[in-house]
Amino acid sequence: MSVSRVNLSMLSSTEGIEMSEQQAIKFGYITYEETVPLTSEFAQNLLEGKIVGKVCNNCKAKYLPPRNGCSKCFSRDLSPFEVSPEATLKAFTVIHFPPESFADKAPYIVAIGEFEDGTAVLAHLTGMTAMPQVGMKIKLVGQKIAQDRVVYKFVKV
Amino acid sequence: MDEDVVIVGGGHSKFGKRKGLGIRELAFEAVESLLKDFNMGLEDIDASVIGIAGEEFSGQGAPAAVINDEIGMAGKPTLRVESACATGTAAIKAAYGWIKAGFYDSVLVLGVEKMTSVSSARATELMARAGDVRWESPYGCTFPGYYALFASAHMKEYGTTKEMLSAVGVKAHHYGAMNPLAHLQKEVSLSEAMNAVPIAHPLNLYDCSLISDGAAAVVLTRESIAKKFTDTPIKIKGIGSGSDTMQVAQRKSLTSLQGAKDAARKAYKMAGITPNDVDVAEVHDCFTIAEIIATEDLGFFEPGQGGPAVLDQQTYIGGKIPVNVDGGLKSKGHPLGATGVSQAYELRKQLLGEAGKRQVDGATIGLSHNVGQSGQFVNVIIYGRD
Repeated sequence: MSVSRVNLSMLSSTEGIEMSEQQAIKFGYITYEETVPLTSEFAQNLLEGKIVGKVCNNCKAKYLPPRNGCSKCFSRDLSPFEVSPEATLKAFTVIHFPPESFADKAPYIVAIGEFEDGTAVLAHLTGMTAMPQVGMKIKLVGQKIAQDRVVYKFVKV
Repeated sequence: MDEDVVIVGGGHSKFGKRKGLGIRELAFEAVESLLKDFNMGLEDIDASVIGIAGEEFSGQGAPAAVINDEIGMAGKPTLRVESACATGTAAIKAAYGWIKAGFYDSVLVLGVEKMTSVSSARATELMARAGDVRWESPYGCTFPGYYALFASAHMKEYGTTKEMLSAVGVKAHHYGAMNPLAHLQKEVSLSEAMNAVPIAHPLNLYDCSLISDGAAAVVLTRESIAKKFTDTPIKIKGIGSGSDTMQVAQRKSLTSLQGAKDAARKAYKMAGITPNDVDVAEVHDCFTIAEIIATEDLGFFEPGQGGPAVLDQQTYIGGKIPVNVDGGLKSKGHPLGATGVSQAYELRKQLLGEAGKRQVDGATIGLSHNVGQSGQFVNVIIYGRD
């Protein structure tokens, strides 16, 4: 492969990434992998106040976070379903020694909340004035933290 | 190949902050140690399996090749195995499979990790990327964090206390202080352990395993040719493995590891034993709560009784089941890829009656429990003297 062809292909792929990044809303406080349509769609819904998973039309398996295909029956025929944000705190921790890229955020509470339909996610829990109690009622809300970035977090009900 | 597979030699580097030594020097040190109680050199070893969890720590891509060369095995087949912190036992299982399949008669298994070349914050970041980078790592949950989540659920469900967690750390340091290969060889009091700097509530510094450098090695062979290497082979009697959902939030239980329960059941069945038959156990105490959960998942104690059992010294030598009497990951150290092989090294010493001050008298069956990530990889291996 010639040098000029290498340069050309690098240029075009860079342009491609920039274009998709302009459109794609990122999910979470930090992005470790390329944002895929599944994630940006989830983030866009979150921006609109909706928590949207996927349910398999063939075997009814539910996915929150969503998946593109059903890992149980391998159907590609999945539909969106909306989750009610009220949840129960199943587990929590207060991170005092964070990963390098979260250095300016610590301490922060990481929690697992289970929704009424049995689905569950891991997110920060904010707005606490006392130590959380496993079993307490919490609610998941979306929050825009930058022009192109959205997170979800639990808050006390 | 219908014969049993046996361990005929073991070697172990000093674990710790090994400044000035890379993965190849650490690997060399483990093999050098192995050759000291071996009847011969490595000329009769047919292949190697190298366990190493991450290349970001050492900087070396495709690290098996450089290690295979450094230990004088260049020209013989090698393979790198990775299963996060369960890498070491995965490497042993791979070698076992190779021998059972008849590919090779004798295989060297070497587990190694160089971790202290990066800062603790960087190491925490690199390990956090072994969480789900799409859905969970973007929320800054660390590995202590995942186990702290388990701890909060275990405390709520069973009334496990902070004192019980700290008692695991106290035991680890009690035995680590007697192990010349351990990273931290010092006793710790219960009050020191309970009042250490917080890492991920309710876990503090003395609830967390060490970020260490080190290597360990064992040689596996067919039972019928074991005499060539040693008069005292140790048999691999059972191996079981399990896994679990990638996202911790999707787990059915946050108070046990389903993969560990599955792995234990299969290993006990293959070995034809029950938990009561185990004389000494090496469990994956990456965090104190992990040891409590392990002793329950392995069937040594009922769910919820793992914590009280530690306070009652049931996991000390002389108790119901001595656990991690080499100091465990907490005090001996946890160089990721080396840990599962180090467990095999220690159990071999115990079953040969060569563990010195830490010897469990008359031990004939040893169990190794090695967990990767937060339960996504689990291997349980049962070793026996007969």
